Amino acid sequence: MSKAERPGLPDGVREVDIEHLYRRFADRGLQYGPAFRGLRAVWSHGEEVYADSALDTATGGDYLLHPALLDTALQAALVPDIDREDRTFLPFALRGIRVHKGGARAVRIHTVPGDDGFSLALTGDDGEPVATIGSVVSRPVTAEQLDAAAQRTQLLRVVWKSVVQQSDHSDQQRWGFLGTDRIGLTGALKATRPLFDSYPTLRELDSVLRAATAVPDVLVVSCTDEDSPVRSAAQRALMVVQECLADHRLAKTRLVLVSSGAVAARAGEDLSDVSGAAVWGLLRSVQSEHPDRFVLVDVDDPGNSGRSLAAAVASGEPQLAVRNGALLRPRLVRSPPPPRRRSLTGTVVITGGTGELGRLLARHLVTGHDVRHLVLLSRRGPGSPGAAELDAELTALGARVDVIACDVADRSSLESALAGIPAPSAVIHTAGVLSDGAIGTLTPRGLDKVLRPKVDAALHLHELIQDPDCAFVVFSSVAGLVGNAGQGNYAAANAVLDALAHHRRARRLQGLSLAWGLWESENGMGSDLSAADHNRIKRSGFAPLGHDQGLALFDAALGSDEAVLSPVRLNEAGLTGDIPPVLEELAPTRTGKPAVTDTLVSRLAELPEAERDAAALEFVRSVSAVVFGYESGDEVDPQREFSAAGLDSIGNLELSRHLAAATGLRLPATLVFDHPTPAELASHLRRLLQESNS
Amino acid sequence: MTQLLEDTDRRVFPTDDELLHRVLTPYRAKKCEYLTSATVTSQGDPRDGGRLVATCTFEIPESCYIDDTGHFNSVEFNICFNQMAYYLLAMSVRESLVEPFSGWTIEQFWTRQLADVFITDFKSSFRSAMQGRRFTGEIEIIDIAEWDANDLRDALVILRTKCHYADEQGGESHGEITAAVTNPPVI
Repeated sequence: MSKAERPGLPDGVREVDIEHLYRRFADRGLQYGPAFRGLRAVWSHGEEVYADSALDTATGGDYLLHPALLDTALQAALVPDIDREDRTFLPFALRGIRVHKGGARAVRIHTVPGDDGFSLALTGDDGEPVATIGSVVSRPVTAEQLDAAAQRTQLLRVVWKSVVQQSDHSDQQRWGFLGTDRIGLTGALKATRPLFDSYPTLRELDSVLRAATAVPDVLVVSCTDEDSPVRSAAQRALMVVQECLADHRLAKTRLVLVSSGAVAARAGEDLSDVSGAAVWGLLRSVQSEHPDRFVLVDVDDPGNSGRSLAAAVASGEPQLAVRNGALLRPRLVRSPPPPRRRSLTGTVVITGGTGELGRLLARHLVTGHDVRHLVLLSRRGPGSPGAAELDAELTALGARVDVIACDVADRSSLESALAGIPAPSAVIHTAGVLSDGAIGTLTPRGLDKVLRPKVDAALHLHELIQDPDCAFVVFSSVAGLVGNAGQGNYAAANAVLDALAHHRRARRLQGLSLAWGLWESENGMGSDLSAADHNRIKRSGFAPLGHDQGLALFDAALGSDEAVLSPVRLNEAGLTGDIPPVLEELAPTRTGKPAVTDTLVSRLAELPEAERDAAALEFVRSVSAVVFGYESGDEVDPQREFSAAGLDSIGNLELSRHLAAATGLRLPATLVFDHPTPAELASHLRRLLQESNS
Repeated sequence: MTQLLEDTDRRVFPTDDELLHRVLTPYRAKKCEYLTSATVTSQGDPRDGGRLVATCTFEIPESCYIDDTGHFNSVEFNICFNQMAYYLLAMSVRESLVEPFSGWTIEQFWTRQLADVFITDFKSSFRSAMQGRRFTGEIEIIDIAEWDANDLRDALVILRTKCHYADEQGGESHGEITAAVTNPPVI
């Protein structure tokens, strides 16, 4: 339709190409289907937009104002920003909506910019008003955010949750302790287990087993002591596991590996036993390969752990921590988005710097952060394939680049590489290799192959980077938290990296371990995975991360105060059936999800008036935490808008539903749009409840 | 005598008669010195994709334990394997071909040859009958696992091997054997 045929257009309007418009929308992650591609003609006039739109003939439904028609008006309002590359504005809150005439199938649209958004007028062909919206508040959103929302990328973290202790009816069970009692458990076990034996060596265990009368039901082994290097601890645990699996006489025996200080089950806990963490990682994979044979327990008070160990074994949980007599089990949960963005600057060292992940990150630090000096360490350095091109590319982007040949697992090589550069503001350890194999075939060399570039290098970096201001980021893997079958060595190495991050933080140094899900890869780690491997990964509840998704999660994680975060792309369809317990709470119908059974009304009734506002807010935060999948309401910032904290449309409905159930009020689906922060929502609920009481 | 081939790290060791004589000493009194030659080829470490192989010839004029059966049987398969394995290990020690044997002295090997080498897993397959008088054999070390000593167990070296025998008439047999070497010298 030309301007001449469209009355009401001012002079100086510019017609916008509809095809271009929908292409640009798609570029931004806004993919409209046929029913929603209703714009027929669009004209821009400065910041104002005029448009004609109509419903597709096939689009039906009995609506006062058809959503697809309304959506075209919102699409038209995006036109002034359509060619901005950095972000898209999406409608966030609509106020002052009036429908003047129902059942329209075609409208003329006029949008006028206002404070924080725009106003909308929809009229019919006859010029009569169809609908007006006084204010559409819009919010910026990046393509990455849209994409991430669609793909369910997440930052996960490990929380340790209480396990209800069952009464111990296992007095008739025969317990044994194998090996040296490095952490002081046998006294407690002897005192609490009526049937208890010690076997200092495997040879002595063998001689007992030959008698066949005293096969232990539970065999306890300490993971390690604080002095064992990672390699020795992992090798010893591997040996015990292989011996147990190969010995048919122990087929019904449960092996319990006990550590002290190998996992951080409480906020701020130090890990005194980083080597023990390797055993935890290794055994998580063992548990995936051989369920119900092996138990991991970390105790805080070995001398008094007899009853707790019995309760731990009785609980049926594969991994437990004992803290002050309570049993805790690890669960991966969604982490709240970190409150701030941290931009890296200055000199940044990347190990594995010429590998696929290293390159990706190097580019990102130059283009997405303010890094102006990159030190890329890799075994072959400038001789790595593509290193010269990478150097040239980063230099052209304005960065100074040093590509240095350095075996980061070799302490002196690393030391001399670091001595030749300015003090770094950040070190990012991405180096690593895979050498997969089932636990029964894993050898000490197979362990070393993976431990060396990951763990040796990380420990050297830890010793050499003692500047409390220097960011220290290690790339670990969710395999270490979940315990992927066939990746015992890799899980062990990554569990050490996670432990190291805790260890550094306890020493007031910086430390962040990112336990990545698999990245989509062409040449890097994971590139030689088969279709079956990918299917297995998919079934495991994770999908490969796209590069942009991974980098967006990297940026988000940098602003966190956590020691370990797991940036992943969840595949919730895969989180069903027989999943590792640590993933249970991520499943769509997770059984461990706390129910909102307490009502706000009864809670407020018990409190004096002066405390009710605070209680209402606490309630809103705790319900929000359930919806977000957070551990507690403490993680919900009262002043942060729900949308900014990542509440999507499904979450919004879920929150409204929970609050309605807890208040007995009829609450609209737009509740969170009208009261966008927890604090505002809590005040609103208080008002509604006061009104309903009066 | 060593041959370096085509600038690679591949090394080939023709039969060393003196070493062979020493390796077969325990068999002499029983008249079952079957191994007559062994060429060892070494290229890198088997754990890193390298190869360590002995290509051998055998002669069994008369079985040491049974009247002539007319064919190569599993007992002889086992004895021949042992002789190949001992020779390959001895050469690995003497020529420092692969860890941990490169850190051993040959004397340390001789004292351990009989008492400290155990077969822990033995699989032999006979596809077609072989005549047992003269034939060839090959042993390859697939993997070496060096387990450190700890409170639970003494140090241990586990060798995973493959072997293969053939005669000129197309007879063939092969096997997969795992051996444990206990009491390895502290290097």
